[in-house]
Amino acid sequence: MRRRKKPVDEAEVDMTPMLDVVFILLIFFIVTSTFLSEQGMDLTPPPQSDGPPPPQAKAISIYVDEGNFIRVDGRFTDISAVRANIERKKAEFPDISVVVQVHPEAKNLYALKVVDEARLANIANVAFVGSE
Amino acid sequence: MARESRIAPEEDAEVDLTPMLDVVFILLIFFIVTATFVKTPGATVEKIDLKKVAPINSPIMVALTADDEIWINRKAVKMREVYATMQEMVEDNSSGEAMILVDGQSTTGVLLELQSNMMTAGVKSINISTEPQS
Repeated sequence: MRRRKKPVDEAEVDMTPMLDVVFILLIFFIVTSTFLSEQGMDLTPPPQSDGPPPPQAKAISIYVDEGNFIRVDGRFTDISAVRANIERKKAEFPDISVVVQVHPEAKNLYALKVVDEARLANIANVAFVGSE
Repeated sequence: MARESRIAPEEDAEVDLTPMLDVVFILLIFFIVTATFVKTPGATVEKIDLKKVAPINSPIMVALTADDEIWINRKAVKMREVYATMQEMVEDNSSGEAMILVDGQSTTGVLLELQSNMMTAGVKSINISTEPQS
């Protein structure tokens, strides 16, 4: 009885080497998988339209010049006061938009902080444009 | 007969590896599918600390350094080469989401030009990467 059973047992597929390979692959993918935890601010430019621009709504114009000085509607303003200025005007006109115009030589540190401040003031429409 | 009944339990005691193998395979497939081999730009950038941020997960990364150099996939790229390089990367990543690692000391003129070059190359959305908030 036993002698007849033995060859059947040996014919069973030995899974151990495959399991080894699968484990090595698994460990490789676990180690190389990088779960990105980056945070960022959306700065996708609006789609270009060939049609005429929409009727001019009320907008706050902020200008960052080559010396990184910030002007809100023509008045020199410190970066810390930008949001208060925007919020004051937003209280007057709830759906006001903000146009951040930047000199090409201005530093992104100040330009993007201004955009961030405008977004923090809950302005839905913040445009980031260069000045010619 | 007595000998046979003694053999049978011994054979049953063998560990059945099949369920574990199933689990391991599922884990393996999960990690293969989620593995995104991020091509890091390869330049050090002093990111800007912004407040109004959202988590982003875009495999296309572009760095803009303090000297207004553009780095993609560990190579410094000239502005006129950005379009071709971006097109290649967009082909590999169907989502079309890109992120720019902007240094605070880079200038806005370069950023705006880079932004418009990336959009014409087929990038759908651009995010500015910031310092992770704790």
